[in-house]
Amino acid sequence: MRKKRLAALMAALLAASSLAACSGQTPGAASAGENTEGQEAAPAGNVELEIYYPVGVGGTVSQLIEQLAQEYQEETEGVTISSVFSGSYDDTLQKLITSYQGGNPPQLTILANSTILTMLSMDMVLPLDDLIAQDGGSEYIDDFFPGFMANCVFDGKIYSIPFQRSTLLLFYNKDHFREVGLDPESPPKTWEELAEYGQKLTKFDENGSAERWGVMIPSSGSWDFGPYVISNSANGENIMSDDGKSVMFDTPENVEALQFLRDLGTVYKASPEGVIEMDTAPANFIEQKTSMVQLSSGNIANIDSSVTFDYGIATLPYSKRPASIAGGGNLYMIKGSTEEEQKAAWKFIRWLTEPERQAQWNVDTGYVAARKSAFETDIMEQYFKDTPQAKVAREQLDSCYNELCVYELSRINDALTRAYDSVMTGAAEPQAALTALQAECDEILAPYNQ
Amino acid sequence: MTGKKQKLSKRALRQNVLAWALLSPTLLFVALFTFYPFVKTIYLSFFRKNLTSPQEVFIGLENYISSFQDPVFQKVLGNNAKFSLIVVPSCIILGLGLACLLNTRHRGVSLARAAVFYPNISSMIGFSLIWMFLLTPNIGFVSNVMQLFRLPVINFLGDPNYVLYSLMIVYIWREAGFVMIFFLSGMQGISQEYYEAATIDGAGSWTKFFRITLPLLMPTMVFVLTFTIINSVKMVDSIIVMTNGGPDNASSLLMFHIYKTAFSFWDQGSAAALSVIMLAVVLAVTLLEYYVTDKLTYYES
Repeated sequence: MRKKRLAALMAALLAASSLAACSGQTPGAASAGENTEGQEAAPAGNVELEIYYPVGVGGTVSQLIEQLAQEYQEETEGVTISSVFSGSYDDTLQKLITSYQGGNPPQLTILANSTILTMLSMDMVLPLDDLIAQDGGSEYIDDFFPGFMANCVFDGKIYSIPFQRSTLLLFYNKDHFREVGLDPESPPKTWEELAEYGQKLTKFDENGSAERWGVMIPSSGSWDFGPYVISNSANGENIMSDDGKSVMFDTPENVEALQFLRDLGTVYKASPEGVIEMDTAPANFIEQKTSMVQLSSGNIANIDSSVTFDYGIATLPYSKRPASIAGGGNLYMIKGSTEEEQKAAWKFIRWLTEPERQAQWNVDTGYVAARKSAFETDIMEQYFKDTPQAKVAREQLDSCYNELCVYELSRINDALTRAYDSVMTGAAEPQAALTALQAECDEILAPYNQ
Repeated sequence: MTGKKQKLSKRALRQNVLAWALLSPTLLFVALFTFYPFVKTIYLSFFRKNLTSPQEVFIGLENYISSFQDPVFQKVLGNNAKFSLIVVPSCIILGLGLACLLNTRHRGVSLARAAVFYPNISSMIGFSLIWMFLLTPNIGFVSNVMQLFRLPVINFLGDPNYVLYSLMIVYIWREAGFVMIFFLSGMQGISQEYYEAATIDGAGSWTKFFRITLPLLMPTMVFVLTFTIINSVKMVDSIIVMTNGGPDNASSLLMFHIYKTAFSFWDQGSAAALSVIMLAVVLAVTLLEYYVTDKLTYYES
């Protein structure tokens, strides 16, 4: 008898648990359910927001976001914000897609600016135009640097707001410049100078192996290669078309650019041959194993606190025109939230991007403030006094182009990285590699051009 | 007769209900996390489900055909064959050697065992990062030591000729200790009487090893072979941390390729087809291994 009851109990438990597991929810239903729960638990009118945030560079950025969320929660009534650290940009996208498909996405997320077309393919991102019209308007939007807004607008709609933005810079060791008789206040401006200075700065031991390299440009795909493409292209064209449906790799100018990057190692002997890992590049600079290195401005805070020598920051060397890439993350809103949540989320976005807060963010992290007015604040004035090198990041914003942004971005970037690697390791010649790359990318993008 | 039978089956039924009820939590989890994904993967492999068509579209065997035509997949298969062929025998020989060395009761032996085994219980992400820095040219420990001996600087993780071998070393460093533990426990199950008898007959250590230890370890060997083969195909964490499959896919292995297809390219149909292919390959290799070793194995009892 007892056994029987136990069995019945188990069976009931089993049925209940399997029912719970099977009840699939759509995004709309899930957020509606959450809302009622929230109203029961908290005082009426309380809105619960969730935000995913990735950390793209080293340092203590994660703590800072938690602090900001906390601060906002304290000064705003009726809003609770739970900030969820979600790893790298790629990890965050994975987490987001999983939660979206599972019917429980956050209302807000920070993601790479170039992710927009992947998110649009999956129909998960909310256009912000209505919210902007209600609060902020063009006065707010026009205050952002155009280079940062480029990947926010698509088909005439605004999908994201620039937040933790960065740009590529050339970091150089002034002590090494003095040592080899170069002027520490005039870093290389052109490709020729980069090769020439790099050659001078490289030191070999009696055995012929390098003790120190002149320059390191990491092999990260479009991010590090992009500036060389745009700087050298016939009329300043980017790698991709504006609609993100085609890429232009196979041009004589791109072959030249790729040849130059390989020549830095093979011909000028100013850079290690083969592939240069992005993750270890900052360490190479800090350990003085390379005199110049191309890195994201997100590294400024880390390098400034780690180096034991006099360092400088320069805009990237160019061939036909100065060019750098605007990278980093934007604030996105995800479909499936209620109108009330959307309004609260928008207020939080506005708060996060206030000029003073953007300025402070820039100071704390090295990410470049995305708004023009942020540079007129006292915080920035003081920062430039303390860290004059950081001014260069602001100067470079005027020649910033948008990061590679195409449909099937991961595939295109993967194909580019493979082609780039094969050239750097000597397995393929630049022309042949880019022709093959073009064919591969055309095939990947074919479904979007039908 | 019939009455008794009915009574019996009733009792059997009651017992069965209890048995099923007790089993059900486990069964539920196995069904949810093993059988359901398994069936769903096979199902998905016949559909197009990627960024161009978020909704599933039936395409038959197209995912399989395009996978085999993909030069990247061919390269990955080649890489993985090379990786497994070197890594599996190395782990077994090293593990067996270590087990022989540490199968004594001297002082400090348990410390040595722990030292050999610890890579297996430490965080794979953490030690992969440390290995990455050890192998980085110019600043890494390995390249500094090589420079000390006036050897050329090698870009272990950035050169397609070295990267796969570098990953093999990291893998063997981690796996050999794990293999050792199994051989050790196998050795401790072998009765001392055999060795005593062999000593009386005047057998040397080598004879003892090849005539007693090795044959009696064969059941362990079958098991160890199976899991080292499977693990060598499943290797993914160190690749993500250390090389991301590069340069030019020189260090991309099967599981990593599937991971990238599914969670970076969001091509879930192709990833499902690749998973089924991987499953078939592993199953075939394992069955072959069972068939061959079973003939060589002497089961005690």
